Formats: sequence, C-alpha cells, structure tokens
Amino acid sequence: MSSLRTDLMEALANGDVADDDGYTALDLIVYRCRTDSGSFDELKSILRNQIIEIIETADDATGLIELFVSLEINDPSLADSIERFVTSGRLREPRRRMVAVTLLRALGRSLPPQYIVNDAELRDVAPLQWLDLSLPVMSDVGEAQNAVVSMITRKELGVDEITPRLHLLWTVCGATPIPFLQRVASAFSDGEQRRFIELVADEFEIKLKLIETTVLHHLPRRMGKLMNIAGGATIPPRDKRMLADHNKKARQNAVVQRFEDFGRAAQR
Amino acid sequence: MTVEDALRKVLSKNLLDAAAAENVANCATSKTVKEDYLAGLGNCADTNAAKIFHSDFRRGKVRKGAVVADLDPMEGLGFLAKEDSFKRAIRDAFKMDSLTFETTYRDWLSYNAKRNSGEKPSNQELRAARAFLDSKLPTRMDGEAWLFRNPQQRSDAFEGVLDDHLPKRLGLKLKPGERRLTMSFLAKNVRTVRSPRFLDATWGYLNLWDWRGKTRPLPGLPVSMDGLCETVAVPPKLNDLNRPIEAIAI
Repeated sequence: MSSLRTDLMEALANGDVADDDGYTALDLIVYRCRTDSGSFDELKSILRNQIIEIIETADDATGLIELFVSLEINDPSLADSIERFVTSGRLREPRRRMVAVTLLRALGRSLPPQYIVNDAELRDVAPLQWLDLSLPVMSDVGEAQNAVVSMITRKELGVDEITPRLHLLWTVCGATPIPFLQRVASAFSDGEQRRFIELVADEFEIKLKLIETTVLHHLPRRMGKLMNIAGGATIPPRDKRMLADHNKKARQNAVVQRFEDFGRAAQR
Repeated sequence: MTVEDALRKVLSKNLLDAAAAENVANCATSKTVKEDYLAGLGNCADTNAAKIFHSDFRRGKVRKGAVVADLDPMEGLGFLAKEDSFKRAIRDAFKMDSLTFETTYRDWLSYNAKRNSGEKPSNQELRAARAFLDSKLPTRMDGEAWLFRNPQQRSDAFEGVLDDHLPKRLGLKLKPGERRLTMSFLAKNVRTVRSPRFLDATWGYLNLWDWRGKTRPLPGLPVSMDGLCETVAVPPKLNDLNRPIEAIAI
C-alpha cells in the first residue's frame, strides 16, 4: 500500500483533529498536492482506482468531500465509478451514501432526485445535509416547501440553520413567496418567529426597521398582517404614525452605522 | 531560586530556545509569576512535559497584560487567519457539508472582491455575505487572537503592509500550499485588547513574538522590514470585519 494512501486513510480517520499548529492531517495532504504535482497525480490515481473501497471503509469518509473541494478534483472516470456504485444500491450506511452523492455533485454530476430525496434513512440521520442535497433537485416547489416546514416543526431546522441557507430558501419560495414565508414563520415558536421575520425582511429588501420594530410589539398576534405589509400591502394609518417614528430613529442609526463599519453596512 | 537561576536551568535542559527565554525573562509579568513559571518548567523532564506545563500554567492568565495606552479606537487591528481552520470552524457552525459550504464561502469571497473593486455583488453573493455576517460568529474559535497594529494607525490594518513579505513579517509558522485570509477590524470593535505577555503565547509560538510588543519576523526578510506592533484580544466577530477579506497563497 502506498504511503500516500496510508496517510489518506489516517487523515480521514483523524477527521478534524489538528496538530499543535492547527493543521489537520488532511490539510497537510492538500498542501502537499498543491505544491507537488507528483503527489497530486499519485493521489488522483489512488482515488481513481480505489474510491469505492475508500468510501466504504474509511473511518470518516466525509473528509473526502473536503479533499475533493480543496483540490478541485475533476475526473469524469471517477464520477463514472461513483455513479455506478451509488445506483447499484450497495451502500448500506446513509452517511456514506451522502458522501458518495456529494462527491458526485462536486464532480459536476447529478443523480435522479429519488436517490437522495427518497432516502429516509439519510433524512433521519443527517437532516440538514439531506435538505442541502435535496432542495436543489426537487422539481416540485410544493414538495420542497413542505420539506422545509416539516423540518421546522420537528425542530430540525431553526433560524440559526436557515441564516446560512437563505439561498436555498429563496429557490423554494416559488412565484409568490409571502404565503410560503408565512407558513414557515407560523411553524416557528415565538422567539424564533421574530428572528425569522427580521431575517426575511432584510432579505426581501423591504423596510427592515419598519417590520423589525413593529414585530417587537405585536408578535405573534399580528404576524400575518405584518407579512402582508412586507409584501407591499397598505399600512393602516394608526400603524403608519407609530412606524414612522420608529423608522426615523432607525434610519438615523443606520446612517451612523454605515459610516462606522463596513461589515455591518455591507449587510444592508 | 531567582529568575536568573531558574532560567539557566531551563536553558541547560534545552526546554526553551534563546528567543523564548528572552521573552519570558523580559516580558512585563511579575517576578513571582516568572519564578513560579520557570521553576515549574525547570522541573519538566522533556519538552513534551514542558508543553503540557506551559498550557496548564497559562490557564486563566491570558489577556492580563497592560491596556494598550495609545490605541486609537479607529485604528485597524488585523491578523492573517488560516483559511482551512477558519472554513472548518464556520462550516461546522453552519452545520453544512464541505461542498455546500464551499459554494457559500466562494460566493462570500466573490462578494468581498466585488466590494473591493466597486462592482455590484449578485443576489447570491449578497446572501452568502449575509450568511457570514449575520452569523456573528467569532473569527477564531480558540478564544484568543494576536492582532498586529497598522504602523500608520490606518483603519484598514493591511493598508501599506499587505505584500508577499507580510506572513514572514508577522512571524507566522507557515506551510507551503496553505492560504491565509486578511482580517481587519476597527480597534473599538475588538474586546479586551492587551499588550502581549509570554502567558498569551501557545508553546509553539513562545519564541515567535518579541517581548517589546512587536512581531518577530522570520529570517529572510529585507532588512528594512521591522516587526509590527501587536496586541492580544478576544477574537473579533465576523460582522466586525472592516475591510473585504482576501485569500493569500503561501
């Protein structure tokens, strides 16, 4: 067995364990391949000939995804091998199936949706990873929306998880986002509901501060109404006055903030 | 045992090199603490034991150096983050697999590049940027950061110093093939900024800073390039970044 192959298996077993200087064994393999084309060729050859065995036997095969991504590995024959393997149904462990499907995607190859969307085992074991893989390939928007709402109801998806996944949420909003966002918001508990509205208010480029300050006072009773405001509906005169006051202060704060801090200003 | 005696013993056992010993002996820490430290270190059988002792000894004693008196709230403090460690930490916080995360991360980098060049970022890039900025995650997960000060006290910590020599100038341990990310913050947004002491340094970096409060450049730098003043602090948060980040290949 080549030493690089041994190093690779050890690196996969070590996972995210770093040495005193903060480098993992996988980092060192990546750097070696970046700076030495001979090592990179050897690694590609090992992967080409043994990828299935590695996926099946590595202590933690998820490191393979990091390896493929970091080295931008792109090899059609590798994709062929993995695709044949996944479609054969031989992979029993859901996490290893997830790795194989993700590697295929990293190689620019996609499988028919059922291989991932219908994988109930993976959905139970790694719900967020299942969602990340499934949403982009679900052809039916309603199905995708139901998946999101049901994960929130089961407490598998919170605002902390949605924040880095706004791009995914956007893809399943469909032509009329507000009803879907209302469904999502309703699925959250009170505290999360407010945070979610703040998040989407920003995303939908509506008057953030207007929604934000109102929500603080009226959640959850006036939730649907506020979401309608977010969608551009008329604001009742009584609310208009109150919101105008809030908004004035918020605008002043926002202007100061913009000048003070690039990072925060960048979000607006 | 005096500091000098304890230091001689530690040096004779090769537990510290000259630069590390100089840092311990001269840094602004009380004599008692130095004596306790060096006496304990001198009793270690080898460097492995010394490393463990050092790590135990500094627990609860980090960021207790002097407040940086001349720190301007609007000056930039910066560091070069290890890209891989940074990505792993944020990826885990996002609970994403490496591929999904990489897409978001590259969009964020692209957002930064466009901000830098004055181009308008795409919606996808804006969403990625929000994922990072709204997360309010710390830029380092190990609880401590060494940040250099911009020599001209500019708000962008990297202004005038970002060149091929910077990693060496900062005295960083580097691996060929790795990448570093430029991270800059306004001093007013960085918590608990202190002058560094030897107790702030991990074992591996004990000899890679200068007790006078400057970085200790690695060999091979042009003679005109001195170390940069540096501080230790609580790692600032992502939403406090005050310049677009860039990835630098080593």
